[in-house]
Amino acid sequence: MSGNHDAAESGPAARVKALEQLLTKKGLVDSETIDKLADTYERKVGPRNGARIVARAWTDAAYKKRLLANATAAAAEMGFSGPEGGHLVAVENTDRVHNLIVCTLCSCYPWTVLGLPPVWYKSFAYRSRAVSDPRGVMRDFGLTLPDNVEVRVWDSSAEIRYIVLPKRPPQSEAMSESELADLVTRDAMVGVAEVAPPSKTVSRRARA
Amino acid sequence: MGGMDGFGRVIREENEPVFHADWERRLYPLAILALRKLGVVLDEFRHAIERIPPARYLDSPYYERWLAALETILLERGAVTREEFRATFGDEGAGAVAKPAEGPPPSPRARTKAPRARFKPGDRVRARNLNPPGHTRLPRYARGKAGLVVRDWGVFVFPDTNAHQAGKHPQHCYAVEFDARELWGKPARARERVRIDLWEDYLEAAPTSPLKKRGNR
Amino acid sequence: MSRLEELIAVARLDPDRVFSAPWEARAFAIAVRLSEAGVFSWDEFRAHLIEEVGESDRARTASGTAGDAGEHYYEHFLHALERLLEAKGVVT
Repeated sequence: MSGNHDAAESGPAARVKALEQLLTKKGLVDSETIDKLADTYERKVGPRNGARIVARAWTDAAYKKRLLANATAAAAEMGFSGPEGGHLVAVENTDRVHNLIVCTLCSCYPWTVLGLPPVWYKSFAYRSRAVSDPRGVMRDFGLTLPDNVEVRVWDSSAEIRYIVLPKRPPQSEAMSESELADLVTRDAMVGVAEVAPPSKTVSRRARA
Repeated sequence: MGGMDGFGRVIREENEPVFHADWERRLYPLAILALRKLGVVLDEFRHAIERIPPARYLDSPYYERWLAALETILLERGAVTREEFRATFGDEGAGAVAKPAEGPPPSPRARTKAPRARFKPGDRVRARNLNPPGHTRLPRYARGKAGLVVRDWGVFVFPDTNAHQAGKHPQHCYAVEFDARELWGKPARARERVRIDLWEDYLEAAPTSPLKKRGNR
Repeated sequence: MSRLEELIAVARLDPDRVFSAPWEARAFAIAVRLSEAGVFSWDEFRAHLIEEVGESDRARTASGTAGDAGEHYYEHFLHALERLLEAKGVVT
């Protein structure tokens, strides 16, 4: 948490406090439930969920098939379900197609498998440029794709929530599912990055 | 069937006395409180009513449907067991059709009388040039642009009306692919495409080629 | 302005931080909880959020101020929540 920045209790912090008090008085919320929810999204739901799904899809062909056919069910198999995860679709990166996810209208995001969106995903710059200049956005993140790769941007304007199934990196053949999950970043599952091959340190560990 | 758009509206639709019997008068606040306590959202309650077997649904007076739906939800949420129903009422509680094993979160999909899809993958469509005063989820940059239907995601509640309590209007929602050159004009690169999820009401058929110029707005 | 700078500074310290301040976490949790409890549907909340974000985008574009870097998101969230609760008559 940010520590004492809330101590000033001005602006939004004061409004939230007043709102919570009013709603508690009306019996619509209670602070214990609010605490738990905030904690869940801060610490328990996050990109590690998606990384595990990706690693499993890379190592289990039958699971990958299920994931691409019905990602909601495939995520639920691993215990990932909840708000903003009711209609999950996994889109696969290949040598010919690279996928990028955005919500131009308001930052909709697949909470159940990636947690809450990062600040940049919610920015005006990302929301407007991801659809009009996706290669430029990816270059900002350090990713340059060959011209012959099709860039496919998905604007999450309705109920579907997307997760990118990135390409499995080279030199990862000997890795276990758990080690593979360690490689998969949130950025790769949104589509602004690819999964980097294991570093020398990691691959040494994998061979041991 | 009409279905409920909100607990308040339900009452105002009746012309006759609101409650015909004492048990009805008790049921309404009981149902509201119980559902709220259980964290049941309106969609789920409506879904439970829709799952009542058609024969019973058509025969039942309005509040008996509520009762059946409430019993269903209480059972499914584990708030009351079948044994407890048996002990209390001598029967096992509501006979609504069991929820398909699809996962817990209530879905905005309509389950009864699903509207037929107007479009299918491969159809060329154009996003309407809608500029409604209220809520819409048709992104500005797509209005008036032509694209290709690539997926039919199924039937969903329509947010433009639902968000304003003007009805669910469930309809098909499609992934429509737009070429970057169609959206942004010539300087856009080849091999860039944007797929936007659009409700059927946002679309019209566009049998001509998507790249044919129609005048940019 | 210093409040904004604080938010940005905090967010940049840890780019993976989910919430930049405790009030963001509570505003978020309140909105989710109220929709779970049926006070409003998530559709309705999202509608208001989209309007807030859209208004903010238009205002910034028109006045030429720096683009929203995403640090205002939970303020949009809070505004949307307040407006929706007012519309529902839960708060006045």
